[in-house]
Amino acid sequence: MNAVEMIDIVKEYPGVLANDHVSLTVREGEIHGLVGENGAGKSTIMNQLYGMQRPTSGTIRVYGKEVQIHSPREAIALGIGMVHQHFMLAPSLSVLQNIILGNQPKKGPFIDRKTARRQVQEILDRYAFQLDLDARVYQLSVGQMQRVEIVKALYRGAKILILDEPTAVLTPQEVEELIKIMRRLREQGCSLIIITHKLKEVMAATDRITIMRKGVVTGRVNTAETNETELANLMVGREVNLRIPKWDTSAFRQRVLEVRDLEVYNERGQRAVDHVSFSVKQGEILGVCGVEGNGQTELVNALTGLSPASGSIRVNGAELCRAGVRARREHRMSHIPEDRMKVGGAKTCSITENLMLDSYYTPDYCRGGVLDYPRMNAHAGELIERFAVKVPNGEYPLGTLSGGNIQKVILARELDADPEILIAAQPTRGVDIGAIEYIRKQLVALRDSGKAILLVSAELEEILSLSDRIIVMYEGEIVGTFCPEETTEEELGLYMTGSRRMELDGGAL
Amino acid sequence: MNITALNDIISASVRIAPPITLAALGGVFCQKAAIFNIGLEGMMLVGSFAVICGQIAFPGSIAAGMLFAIAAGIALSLLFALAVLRFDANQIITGIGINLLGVGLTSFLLRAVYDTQGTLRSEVMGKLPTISLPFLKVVPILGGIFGEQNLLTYISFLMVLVTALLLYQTPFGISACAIGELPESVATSGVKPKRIQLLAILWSGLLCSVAGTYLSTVSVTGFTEDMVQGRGFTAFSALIFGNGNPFVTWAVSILFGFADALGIRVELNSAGMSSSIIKMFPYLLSVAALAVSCYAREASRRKKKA
Repeated sequence: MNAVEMIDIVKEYPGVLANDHVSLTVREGEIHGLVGENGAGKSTIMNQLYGMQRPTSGTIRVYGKEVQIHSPREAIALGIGMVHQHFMLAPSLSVLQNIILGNQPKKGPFIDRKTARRQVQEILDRYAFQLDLDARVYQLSVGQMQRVEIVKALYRGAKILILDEPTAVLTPQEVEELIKIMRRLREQGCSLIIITHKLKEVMAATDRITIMRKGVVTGRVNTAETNETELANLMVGREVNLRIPKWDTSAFRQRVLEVRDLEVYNERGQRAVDHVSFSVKQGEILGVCGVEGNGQTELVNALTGLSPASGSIRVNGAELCRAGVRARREHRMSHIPEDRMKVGGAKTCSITENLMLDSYYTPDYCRGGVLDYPRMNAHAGELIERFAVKVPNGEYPLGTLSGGNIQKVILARELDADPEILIAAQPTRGVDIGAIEYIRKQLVALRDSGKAILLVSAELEEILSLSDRIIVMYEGEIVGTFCPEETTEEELGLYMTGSRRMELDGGAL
Repeated sequence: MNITALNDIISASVRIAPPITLAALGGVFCQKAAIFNIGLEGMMLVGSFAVICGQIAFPGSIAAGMLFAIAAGIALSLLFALAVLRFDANQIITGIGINLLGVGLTSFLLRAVYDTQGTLRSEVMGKLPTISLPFLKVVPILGGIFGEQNLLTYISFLMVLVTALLLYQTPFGISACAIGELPESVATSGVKPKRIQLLAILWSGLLCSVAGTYLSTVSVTGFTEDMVQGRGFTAFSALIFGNGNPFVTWAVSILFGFADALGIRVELNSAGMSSSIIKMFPYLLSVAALAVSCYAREASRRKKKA
């Protein structure tokens, strides 16, 4: 019996065909992988199954019965549950309140907490989940929040569970735990659909896989009969090489960025970076990894001058801890911010203006307070061509571009500044695989030319393949330092979750 | 200070507070559900006007007056909801519009319907009964609070409890809290956030109009143009101060009442001080109290972390 059949689904947005005659079948009691790059239309097809969007045309059958799904409420009534990539939980409410939100059992006008607790506890027992129902959601780890989301769906009677990029924010250990949970759910008769672009995990967890590219289905395979290379080819349509060869840069010795005793408080007044010391040499990529929220964001903001800090930040010997952003940039520090839409660029400004944001005031482009647009346009045009930004000209607003192209614009601006040290935060987050390959090549090329890079990334695979040295952050401290050749994702995971730590000599880092 | 004097000033504080308490409680659900409702002022004003209209239409009937007021308050809040929820208007601008509309509409109707200016009274004025508990009057503090108050004051006490129950014990209240934190968490649970927000806005219209009736039937007898005089904004700051917690909001509104009562007392007893300075007192207090509370909150958070 098929749990879900989506037949010939077409979803058209003005000017874009997001799903072009997509068909997807999920059998009862299987874990089905839906893989594809960003923008391939995976989320769009799932949003239609969950009633958040309506197909332009096509048929949806759930357990053999043709259905029209107009809202999440109707999807829930059909036994479909969705765990979103960004958790839909209210942080200051308790776990129990979040689980029963919108479906509270009532006694008169009031919520019947006793019944609710009993019902939720039954689910926890049946699937062997560990959760403290009275904890507030903000106190939970990311993995626990995900479990709350799963229980929330089960509480609403979900038999078909959609998990959107469930492993994106998890540590390797949490991923293993999640796979176990998915198998338990399958044994209990649930059908699961996991949306992902991580091939290793889709190979480990699923029974069958549907592959999408640019809005169409490019393959349907049994997991047992395929391998990562075949999947990658179906996903991208060509060979991709994310392992970029690096040159020997051991001739470079000089330390470019030296950080000593850096202490940063976040906006809530909590110490987010706790007396951290490290340095980055010429021709070196220093990878910073850690579970999100362990001080990486605050570290980057402090280094680039976006938030105040105490301690010492030196670039080629010049003390910059109290310097403004422009002074840091003039000392040849560049920055690829983690949030490209809020910090990295101005989305209603043109591409040209965005490319010139760091140099418009220099005598080259500004005479007596008046901007020299012809020269700016000419320079921006060169950059657009050199960095392969797919856009006819620089006059389009930045916000009209895809994530990958926006990131290329930002990369172009930052590399054009000819940095001695580049602070790159999540440089490939949410961009398509072609852009990932391009951005990684550019980073390695910069390194090969003897410049220093601090790379902060949530993708362990990226950290391991690009870095020359890795530091792990946990609760604002550096708890480990590694060579990528001598460590594994699993080992890093243990340090990222605080279960292990090294005694480190700050001066040597 | 003897018991009578103490009870007198407490009693005065409690007497001044109900309109602020009620309006602030009205704003609680808006505050929780991410609706920035500064239209409390205007909703109060139409309430204080409509209660008199009701009494003129049905001579001396306080019941009719209350019904008129509630209808007017809910109508104005519906307008706010229509603009904010249906047409996605800016909440602050809409709130200002509601306040201006309240002033303009009441003045206009005063001239157009009743052909008068300044004040409006019914020939027979009814009001809700005052409840007196003589045996309590001699008890310090409690006597001041409960000894002799209008029924509406007791209703405002009751509403603190009702608001707390609605907020913490019903699906509506919990959903409102969740909307303020992450609207999608409610939407993906199959509840329409805008429906919750509509209820929150209507609730503010209801309580604000009742708050308004207190001003024109209990504080004074009769409606005066622009008689709310910033109490809606005072209520709003009590609400922000209490961070949507009904009990804290209530306590703060009593504190504002106390500042007012103290001001009146000083004004009566000392000829030397200018009355305009004394009238600033409650507002200065509110600024000072807000600053202190924010500082204390920040300090305790830092201590917890260290």
